[in-house]
Amino acid sequence: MEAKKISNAYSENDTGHPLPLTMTVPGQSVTIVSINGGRGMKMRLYSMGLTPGVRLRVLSNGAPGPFLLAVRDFKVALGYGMAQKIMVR
Amino acid sequence: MNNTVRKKLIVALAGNPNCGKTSIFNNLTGSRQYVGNWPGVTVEKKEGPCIFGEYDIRVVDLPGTYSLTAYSIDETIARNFVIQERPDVVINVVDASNLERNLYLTTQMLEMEVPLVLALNMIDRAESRGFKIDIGKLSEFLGVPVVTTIGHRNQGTRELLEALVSFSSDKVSRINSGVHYGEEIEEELEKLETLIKDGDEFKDYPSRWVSLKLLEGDEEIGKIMESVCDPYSVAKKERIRGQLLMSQERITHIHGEDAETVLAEKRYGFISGIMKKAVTRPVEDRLYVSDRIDGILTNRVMGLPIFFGMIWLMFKLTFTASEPFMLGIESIQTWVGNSLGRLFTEGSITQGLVVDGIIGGVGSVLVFVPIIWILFFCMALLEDSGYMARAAYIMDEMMQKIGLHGKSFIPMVLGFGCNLPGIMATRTIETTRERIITILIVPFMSCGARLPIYTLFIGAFFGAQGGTVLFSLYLIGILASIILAKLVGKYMLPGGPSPLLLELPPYRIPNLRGALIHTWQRGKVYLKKAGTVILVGCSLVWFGSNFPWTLSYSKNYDALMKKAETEFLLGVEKLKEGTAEYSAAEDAYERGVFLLKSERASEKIEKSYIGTVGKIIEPLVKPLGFDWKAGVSLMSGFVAKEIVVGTLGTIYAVGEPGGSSDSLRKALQQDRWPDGRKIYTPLTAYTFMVFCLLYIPCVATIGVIFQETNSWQWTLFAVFYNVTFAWIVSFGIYQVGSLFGWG
Ligand SMILES: Nc1nc2c(ncn2[C@@H]2O[C@H](COP(=O)(O)OP(=O)(O)OP(=O)(O)O)[C@@H](O)[C@H]2O)c(=O)[nH]1
Ligand SMILES: [Mg+2]
Repeated sequence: MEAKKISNAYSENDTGHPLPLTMTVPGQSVTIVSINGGRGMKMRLYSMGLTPGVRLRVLSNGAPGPFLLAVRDFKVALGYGMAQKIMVR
Repeated sequence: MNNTVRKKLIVALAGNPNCGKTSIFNNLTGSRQYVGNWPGVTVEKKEGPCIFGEYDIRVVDLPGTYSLTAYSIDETIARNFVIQERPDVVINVVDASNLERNLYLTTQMLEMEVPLVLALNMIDRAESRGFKIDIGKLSEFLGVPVVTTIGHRNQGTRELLEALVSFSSDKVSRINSGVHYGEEIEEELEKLETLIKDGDEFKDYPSRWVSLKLLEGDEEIGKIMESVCDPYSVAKKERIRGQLLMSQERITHIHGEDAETVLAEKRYGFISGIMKKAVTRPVEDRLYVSDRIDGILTNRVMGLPIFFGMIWLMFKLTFTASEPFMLGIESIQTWVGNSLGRLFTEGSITQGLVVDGIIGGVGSVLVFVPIIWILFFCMALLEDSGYMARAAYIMDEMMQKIGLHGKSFIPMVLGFGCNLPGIMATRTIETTRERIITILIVPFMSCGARLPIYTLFIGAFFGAQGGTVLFSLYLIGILASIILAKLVGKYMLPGGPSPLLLELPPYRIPNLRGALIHTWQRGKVYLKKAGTVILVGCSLVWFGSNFPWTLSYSKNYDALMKKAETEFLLGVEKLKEGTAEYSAAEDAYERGVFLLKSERASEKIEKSYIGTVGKIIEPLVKPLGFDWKAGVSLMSGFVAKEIVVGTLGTIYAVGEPGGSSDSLRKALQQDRWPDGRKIYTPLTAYTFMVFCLLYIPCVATIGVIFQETNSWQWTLFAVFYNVTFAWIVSFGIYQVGSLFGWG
């Protein structure tokens, strides 16, 4: 329930400036804007379904540890280093 | 009988990790390859035959991969098989409950013009989550045959085979639509394709695929280009490169993003188009229940305690459940030893070999097999629950501190069962640096084969605090691995950890049948070892501790016994049998004879070949508080850790007068140094266990370390480092402990 509220509050922010994924809070739903990584990292994330434009839900923000995301129809654990490079809105 | 020519077909199973490829492989071939609920279970290519109608099908199970660009060894194996070996048909297994992402690989294979049959697996899960998939439409839009399957229940296997066979006999029906990338990109693709098709350097690869890969900047295709164009066409290479740069620039200019991003987006766009038309999604939140479980299990505060609690519970269960089995086998062992012993002439070589060598040695290892089996069973349940990937997630932050990431934790947990699969599982780790470090630390994870040693010594010397003692051993192993990871990470393979990227599979209730099969598959190895390596080992130890068969003893024991007998007979001549005095004299006589026999037995074993060797190595292990018998058993433990127990069993059985009726546990409790001090105090026992935990990976593990690192240096390092480290730690424990008088 709590998570729902937060997510609603933040989804208002859709038009705001892109922020790194690390700035999100659990329960928030965001859209990937871009990935600021090397080609290798980008292609890996793309093949796992993390592409610009995709909606994702932050299940857990583990900073400085890993993040837990729900994206498309699965869940993925993402290290802090990668989360920093994913810009979302 | 059958005079039609049998048709041969090579079929590969490819798909994302954890989508059920191995389950389907097992269904097709009747094999029992390992299935588990986490990504990266299969790390090798596995083959099996399947006979269907007039077809002899060679089925190949591949590791999972998210794309045809490989980042780790297991992905490379999958990719290379599909791209280079060109199987006749690829069964693309997709997880129907996670279709969108799974189809990404499908689009890549379509571009590669791989002949595909789609196995829409886990259709049960998709349905229970409320997805409705229109198979006909899916097949039509993708241009490939689609069959629904339920891997773990062996459903849809026949339909899959039928689709496979009709597909391969009817090649015309292949209408690969694939992704349309939009006018601008298609134009660029065409330009590249024209250049590529000019000449036959790339004839082995579809030109559209080559162009796409070039646009994406795929390194592998770059290498292919270098190799195929090399000798004669520098100019052509330049032309392609020039066109490529122009095309990439143009795409970036139009779309505002680099080419690889645009291509990925277009592919997912193509997929969502199909999803919209062929799949009805549920309205409500699908991941809700599993979210709640994850909320607890991966919680920042509770996650770690829960993890340790689960591991603790697993071992508790292992020990409690295995105890009745162990006691049972132990009494069978004693009984068989005693009854078999009577069949042979007392004191003959055959009697000794059978009773002391085989039953005393192999038997004492068999006693502990239940514990290994039950541990494997618990591990199988854990692996099938979906928790493994969570453990990797929970541990990521800690692993980062030792220069690794959470994925390295999966091999470590697997290592608790057996180090071999643990080391194999490192294939999913992307960077060589982290992979090598993980390979090196896995042997410090206390495997099932070490449990017999702990159980024996804990049972003999610790009693009630057994649980704590055992827990401390596992902890020491983990600490040792942290130290090693830090050392290697600092001095030998410097560099930082790479970030974690790991899919978390849905939780599922572990499949009992699967867990039992897994337990049997892994457990039977231990039975086999008991019947082979350990049998041979214990027989050798027996021979070594009995030969030379005739010795010149320091005393004439036979004469002494004879003398005692005559003295006894003379002494009791005037006494009546049954009186108190008579029995006192009889007791004294029997004690005397027993002492003589013991003395002879221990002199015999000390003068035997093994005793001689043992005495040579004793100075090496004496600072740790061990005698030569412990030293010899440690040497044998290099072959397989459980042999340590077998060797001790054999040596003590030989060293004991009057057969091996006493359990090995008692023999250890009572063994003494020549000066009368007990050899095994709780401190020595603890030191011994620590040494066994750390000292050397078993032969099989060393072999796999070599295979996986492909380097003698790392293999030798693993051996020497571990032995030295074990010695230093054990020395420290023993000496400090003795200082405090714990001995
Ligand atoms: N619900 C459901 N579970 C399935 C089905 N098929 C397989 N599973 C389970 O899914 C998990 C993964 O199965 P595997 O066969 O090991 O998958 P894999 O594709 O070989 O996995 P990797 O080797 O890691 O790439 C196991 O827990 C299976 O029991 C299915 O049709 N439905
Ligand atoms: Mg598999």
